[in-house]
Amino acid sequence: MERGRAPPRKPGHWYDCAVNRRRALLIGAVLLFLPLFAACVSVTNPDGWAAPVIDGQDVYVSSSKGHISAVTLQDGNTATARWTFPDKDIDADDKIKPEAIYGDPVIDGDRVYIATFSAGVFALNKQDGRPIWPANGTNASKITGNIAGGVALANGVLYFGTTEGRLYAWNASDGTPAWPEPRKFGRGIWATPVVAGDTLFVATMGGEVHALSLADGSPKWPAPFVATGAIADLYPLDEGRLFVPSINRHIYILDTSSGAVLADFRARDWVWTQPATDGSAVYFGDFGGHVYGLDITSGARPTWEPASVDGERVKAGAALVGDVLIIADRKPVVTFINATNGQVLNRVPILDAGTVRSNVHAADGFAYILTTKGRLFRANPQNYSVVEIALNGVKK
Amino acid sequence: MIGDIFTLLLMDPMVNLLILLNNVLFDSFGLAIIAFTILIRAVTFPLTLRQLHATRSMQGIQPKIQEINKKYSDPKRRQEEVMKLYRESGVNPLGCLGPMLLQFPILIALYSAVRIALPNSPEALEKLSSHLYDWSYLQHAVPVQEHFLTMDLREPNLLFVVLVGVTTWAQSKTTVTVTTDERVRQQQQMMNVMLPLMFAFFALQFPSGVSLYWVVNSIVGIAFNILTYGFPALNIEPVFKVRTPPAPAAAAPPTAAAAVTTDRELRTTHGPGRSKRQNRRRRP
Repeated sequence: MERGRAPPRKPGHWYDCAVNRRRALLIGAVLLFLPLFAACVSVTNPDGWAAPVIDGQDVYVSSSKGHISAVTLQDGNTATARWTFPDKDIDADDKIKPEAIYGDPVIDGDRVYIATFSAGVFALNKQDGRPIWPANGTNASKITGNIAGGVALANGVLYFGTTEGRLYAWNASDGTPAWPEPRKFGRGIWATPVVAGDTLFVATMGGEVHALSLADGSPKWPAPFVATGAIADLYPLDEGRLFVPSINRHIYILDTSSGAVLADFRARDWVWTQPATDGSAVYFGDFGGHVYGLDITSGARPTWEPASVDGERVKAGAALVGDVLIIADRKPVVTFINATNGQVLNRVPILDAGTVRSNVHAADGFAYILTTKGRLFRANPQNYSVVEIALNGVKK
Repeated sequence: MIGDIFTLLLMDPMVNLLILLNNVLFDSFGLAIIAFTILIRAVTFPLTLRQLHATRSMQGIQPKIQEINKKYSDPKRRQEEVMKLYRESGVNPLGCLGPMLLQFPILIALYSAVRIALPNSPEALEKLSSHLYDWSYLQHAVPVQEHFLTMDLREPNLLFVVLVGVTTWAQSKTTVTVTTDERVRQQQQMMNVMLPLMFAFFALQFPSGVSLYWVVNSIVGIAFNILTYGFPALNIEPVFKVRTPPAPAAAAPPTAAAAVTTDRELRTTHGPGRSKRQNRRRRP
């Protein structure tokens, strides 16, 4: 070794620490890979959020894989499944992979119509859950894009939009196209189309709302309504008004005859939900955990300061039973709110139930809540309690 | 906890920057991914350059390492001599690894950001809301246009599968191989084939937006490699001057004293922190 030569690095014994450094780096590398793993597994796949639909004693509930089951309520606390579609025990259903159902099932006569995210649209026999059409497999190949909403039924025609911006009209009787070609829009259609009177309303993720004649599909407004943010949901308040939540935090109330903006309310966070309404007021939550009550007799005027659900995101539409507003958040916690003054009456956590994205469904003086784990709960606005309805025989 | 910090400090800023670039670049998310990847590579360029320099320095002393390997049969002694060589050459054997490790979280966050900003389901868009800053300019842009050059950036694309494989292979071909050990070299050559195949397989599953990021990232990596190492096949000289490691003195011949030293003695015998008197005491 050359004596007296100054080492290139000052004597800090970097080599002496090399082993420890290596260990530290190894640990560091492992720690750095943890977020990688987390990132890889946290990709959000379609789950669906169709609300439970009640038809007499029957409840139609969807599961996270896009399956739908018809269950019959036995008593207050139990329900037994009559059928599930697709049925894992039937070979013909093996190739049907719906992935998710976002729009509420439509019950009409002896049929149940559902739109699935990946497997197309089905007309099911209400009695046994078997498909009337398509008879075998799916009709997904006839559709461009996925269906992130539901179907609207009017005059024997089913209307639905796709993520690729196509609006389809199919005959409900046999599933054949009612229009020669689907109507094309610039951006995807996620909201379930709305029928009011003789008009079909379609919202796009480009922030447009179109009014089309049911008769011939021609535009009924001079120009579409255009918002600055995407419109992922659309609801009719009555024959003359549309509730249009946009993810630019604005809620618009549109005149169905002209497309004119009757009210423009800015929420504190994203609003992507169905409102509860009694005709003179609307109630809804936002993604920041605020719950609003707006007087819509003229414009949209807050009737009380936004109520809080502890900052938890509210995707599920609210239900109004009497004067009690029932909200389910992502925690999930069911919150009972006095609709007249915004006072929180009670908060009931639901343990180990996944989260709630499906709209809360009001029926028979109760509110029904379906969680992402396929569990059904009934909220009682009389005593502000929540009980689970055990679903027996539902095939997963 | 680590995941939260990672999300807050790296992923969320990247998601928002991607959306911002999308707005600036004509509502084209494809262009946003390209610009974003180049931007991130430019910001991390000092780290990349340091890594490339370290790799090149390591390469420079490989013949001497081979000499040492041939000369000493005792593994401890051999390791000690190699470390001495590193020290005298001013080469940090971890120099290649450190900057690469620092870039890992950035690359991972970038990958995650691309996936989050391109929601493939309504639930994914719902999730995106928790990553976006409270700025209406950003909020108005989502969901971003998912098509780029007629391709759906949310879906896997065969063209990108091929491009991912080719660019990954090209990047490995332009990367300098440090070792002179024939066995290790063969392993590296096998990796040069396996890695592109592996990434191409991943690209079959990933949204093509992620593949686009990977392709651009690899192309920028190839450019850095060529600028640093040159490309002899095309007579391209390196642009960045890399410091040449100082020529170390020839390795001292093994001595009887050294052969019987304990571990503790070995660690300090040749350390530059020892005084001349201490070093002299060990001389035969």
